[in-house]
Amino acid sequence: MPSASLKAFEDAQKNLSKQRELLDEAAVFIDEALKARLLVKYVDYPNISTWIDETSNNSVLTKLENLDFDKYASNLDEDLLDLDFKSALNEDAELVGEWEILHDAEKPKLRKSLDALEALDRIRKNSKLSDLNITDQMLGAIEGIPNVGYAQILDDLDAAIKALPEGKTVDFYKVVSDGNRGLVNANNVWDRRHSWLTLKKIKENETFLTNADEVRFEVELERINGVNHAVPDIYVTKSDNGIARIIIGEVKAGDNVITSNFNSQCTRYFNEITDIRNLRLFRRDEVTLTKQQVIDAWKNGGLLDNPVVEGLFYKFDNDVVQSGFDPDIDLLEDYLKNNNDWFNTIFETSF
Amino acid sequence: LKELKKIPYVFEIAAFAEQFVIFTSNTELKLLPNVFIISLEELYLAKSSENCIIYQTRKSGVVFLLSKDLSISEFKGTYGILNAFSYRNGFIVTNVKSRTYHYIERKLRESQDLKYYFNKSGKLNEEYLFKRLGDEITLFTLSQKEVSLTFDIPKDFGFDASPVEGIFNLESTIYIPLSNGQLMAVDITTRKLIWKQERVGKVRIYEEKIYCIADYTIKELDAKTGKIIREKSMQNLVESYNFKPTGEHKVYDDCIFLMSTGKPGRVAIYDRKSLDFLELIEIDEMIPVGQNHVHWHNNRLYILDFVKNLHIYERE
Repeated sequence: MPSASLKAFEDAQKNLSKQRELLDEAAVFIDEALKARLLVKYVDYPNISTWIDETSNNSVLTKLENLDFDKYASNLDEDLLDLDFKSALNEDAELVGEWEILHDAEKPKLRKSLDALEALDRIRKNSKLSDLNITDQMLGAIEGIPNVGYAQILDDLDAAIKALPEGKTVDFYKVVSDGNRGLVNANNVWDRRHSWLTLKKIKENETFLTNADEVRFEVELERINGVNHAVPDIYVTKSDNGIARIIIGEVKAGDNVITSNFNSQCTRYFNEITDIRNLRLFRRDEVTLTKQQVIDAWKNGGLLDNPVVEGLFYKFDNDVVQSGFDPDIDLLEDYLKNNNDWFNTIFETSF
Repeated sequence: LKELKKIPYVFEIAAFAEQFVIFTSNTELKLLPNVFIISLEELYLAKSSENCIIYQTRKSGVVFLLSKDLSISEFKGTYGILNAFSYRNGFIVTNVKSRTYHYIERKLRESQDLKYYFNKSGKLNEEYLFKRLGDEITLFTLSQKEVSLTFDIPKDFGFDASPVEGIFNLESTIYIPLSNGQLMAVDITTRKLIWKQERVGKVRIYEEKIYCIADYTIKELDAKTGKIIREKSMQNLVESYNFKPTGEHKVYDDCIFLMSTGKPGRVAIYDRKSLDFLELIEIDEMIPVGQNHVHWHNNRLYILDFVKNLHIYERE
């Protein structure tokens, strides 16, 4: 290249970088006109006014301009006394949106918690939320459980949602909020723990659930002819070599697995599955359950003389154990006592 | 179909010959045409054949036998009928005490001890019983009262799959569903593979045709050759009604009934001759899995739900 042309090229490059620098400076120029307008608007709110005055973040100003003044100004002003909270909002003005959600959920302490705000911010970025019909209002209304705070529950919810198959998940919102039930049930810690354990089990079974034809969630409990009948918590339809099958996951979140409706639940599920290997009863890690407890419960409930149950265990023996169990001659109770595979399958393993 | 009646407190339903039988604790139930009602307080199990029905009110007890003339015979003793199977004009049941098969039929006053026993998975025809245990299938010849053949499916046929539940036969051909979704047809006498078909899913035989549900498609196979005669996608049914054929299916001369598990209970009806979808019946409660809860008899559809309500529909 001739030297004159080279010089012209170098000059042009310098010009270009100068222009870029000017553009960058312009970007951090604070919108003084907006600032002035907001100072007038929030004149009666000293902490907001100070924040406006101090900030060099245009996003903060934009958020304050769009804030529902009558609804939020007073409480935001009060919360800005918390300097950590103020600093966090100054760094990420988007958190004002999360603050509004927790404000609307009437959670005055939580709305200043950085962990809570950031967790809410993270989950709201999950693109699957709207498809699953999970609203900001639901997220705000979620309550923690002992040893698992609000932020942790949101992270667990986020992880569970990511594990669910897209476009094939039905009624998952019920785990979060089904009327007053689910994670939002402020009056019942067991209900919330049940939903939280469901989230954990979804995450643990991510690979299995990803390949499902449909994953359906129910949390309702109904009474039929005076008997409690639970609808399965996790109801999976999955094709196995072309055959569509039902796989049921029941979540027992209490201190006891053998609850008053344990037998009615089991009876129902045994009538829905075609294979013992398609049933799981999940429980909390710290809750102990022995095989004998299950056998005793089933015996008391008449399940061991139920031909449907006998037939399922007969098939299980043919497929898995191969001990030659014969339900017409052998007692199912003895078979269950002498074998651990069924217990491990239903009560001790993932899907 | 239009709903004709809903009857509560029904334990079990069964069809044999021209009769339809309802086992119920409902003493208020009025007689229906061509329906025989057996009133009892409890029922363990009932099994039907073309000639009769056997039932027990409780496990390991007396067996009752209902004959075509609607007379009921009682066989006292300790019997198991979970694996009972029809034989000649009656049934073969298990005597729990002697651990042998006993034959019962209307003409007998007492059960007849056959002096042998075979822990079976099913019956193929009047000649063979079979046992499926793991990869192995054992055939038991009733006339010889002994095991006649044993197959190890993967080893003997070079397959990479195990036999699963649902084995059936047509004459001397035994049809064995495999764990990878294939269906194999084997000649019982020569032990030779006749044909093998891919991805057949759940299967039922009717006359000389096999009706399969796999990959949300209904297929009709020629039982002799294994070739697909026709097939129809069920995708419209899945998309329009979210119906998934997770239950079993039953085949009758004019219709095929496909069941789905869970709530609500659903039965999709297909025309057997054209494989066209005809109608979807929906009831509030779930229909337990298996073959015993849906019957098509004399132009009536009987559906027994999980909470013992019998729903009767009639062709309009």
